Amino acid sequence: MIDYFKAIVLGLWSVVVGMSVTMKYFFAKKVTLQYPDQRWEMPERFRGMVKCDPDKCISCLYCVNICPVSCITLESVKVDVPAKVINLEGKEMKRLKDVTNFEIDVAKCIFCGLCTEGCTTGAIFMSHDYEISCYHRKDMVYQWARKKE
Amino acid sequence: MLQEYINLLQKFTVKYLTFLSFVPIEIWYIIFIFVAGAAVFGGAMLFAGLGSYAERRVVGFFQSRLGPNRVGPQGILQFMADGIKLVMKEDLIPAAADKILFRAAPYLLFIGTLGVFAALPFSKTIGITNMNLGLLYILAISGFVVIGILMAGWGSGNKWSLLGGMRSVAQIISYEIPIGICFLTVIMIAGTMNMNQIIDLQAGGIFRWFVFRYPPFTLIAFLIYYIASLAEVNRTPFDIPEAESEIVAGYHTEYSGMRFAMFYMGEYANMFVVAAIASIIFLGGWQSPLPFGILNVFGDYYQLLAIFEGFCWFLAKALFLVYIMMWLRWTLPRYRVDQLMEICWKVLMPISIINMLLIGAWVLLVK
Repeated sequence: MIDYFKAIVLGLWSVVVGMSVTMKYFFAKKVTLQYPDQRWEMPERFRGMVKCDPDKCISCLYCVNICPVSCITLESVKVDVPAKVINLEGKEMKRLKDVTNFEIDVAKCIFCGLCTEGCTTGAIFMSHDYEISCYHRKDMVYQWARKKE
Repeated sequence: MLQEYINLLQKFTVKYLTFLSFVPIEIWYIIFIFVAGAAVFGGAMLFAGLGSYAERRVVGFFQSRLGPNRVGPQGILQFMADGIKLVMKEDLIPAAADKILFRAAPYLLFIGTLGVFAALPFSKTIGITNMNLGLLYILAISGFVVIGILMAGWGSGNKWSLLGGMRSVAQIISYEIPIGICFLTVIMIAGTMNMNQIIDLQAGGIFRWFVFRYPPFTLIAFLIYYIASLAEVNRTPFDIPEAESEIVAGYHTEYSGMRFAMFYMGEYANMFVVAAIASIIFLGGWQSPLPFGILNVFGDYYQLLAIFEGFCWFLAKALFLVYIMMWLRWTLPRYRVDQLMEICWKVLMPISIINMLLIGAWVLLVK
């Protein structure tokens, strides 16, 4: 008989304990991130979409050649007066060509980052953009140019 | 209460709408029945919809999430979006189903819930009826829910549905006994089954409520009623009729679209109903917990507002109990079938009977 009441009291008590645990979570800070309004801050070396700064590009074709999936196309023309570009080591370099069409087909890109590692001037770099979905395949091809033709 | 409204309506027509005075009183009755039916239906729908929203939101909070918060302010219109989605869904009837039973089941289930809504006194004068046998009527009409569930389970032509329906009926019928005994306890104290009179007896502050009237017996009766009502509306930890991990969704496995919505809304409306009954018979219904109404101090001029205040108290109590149901749901795991029956027959039943006898003795002695 005592066991019977003991079990009832114990059962009710365990319910109270459980409810106190859930109540703690009720008032705890929520872990949800309201995505389109709030975003995670990306880590510094996050590999997002590859982007290009055509003002810095010296058209060495390093990225075009090293790309394992050949997603980069580069066209440029010679200039009469060479411009000066500062490379990643802080030295001045001459830029003899102007980029007329720098194309990255993001649909092909595998985000390996090989193109950015060898770029002497930092013209090609991995941005923190990750919302790159679109409706048409042709929208996946991103173009940059120094001189519009 | 019906008579009062009809008389009021007739007075109003005689005074202001003279061209309508040729309408006989029977027509007014019919009109009033339709209006009251629409009010009950709308109210039940609103409670059910907001209940489903509240449940999702509360669950979210218990699980460190936010829950739906996109549609409308704080996501409060989420239930409308859900409803529109469900209306547009295809209405499937399985080939193996018993078509008549399958179609009729959700309506029968909903009738049980709506019937109870019609008898609830929301405030001093807000309410559809004022029945002398209110509690008995509620106990009887909520039996419709059982028939609806059994019909759904049998008519679906699906083993999961049948199992769920059978489990649900066994559970509800078992737990109706402790609920009936708890009702009996209250009836013995009050000496009436009329819910308005029961509430009137609890006037005058929190310590006049029936929960605290005969300590600790009425408190035990309240707890037993609350636990049994959880089983009555198939809520966790007594949700074995729709145990997802065992029998898919129980008796509404085969339902989709609006018919499923009827089951869903019936469940949430039922939750509100049992919470409302608990607050009426144990927590003083629309009586204020203070010894006087907050707005009564302003005198007769604020009578109408005082009625509204009572309505707010009633809602607050009922919704608090609904909240505790949700809290329990997201705290406790599910019982096995044998544990469920053990709790009912070995714990709730004997304790409630002894409790009732003790309260009866006390009431007799005090009188």
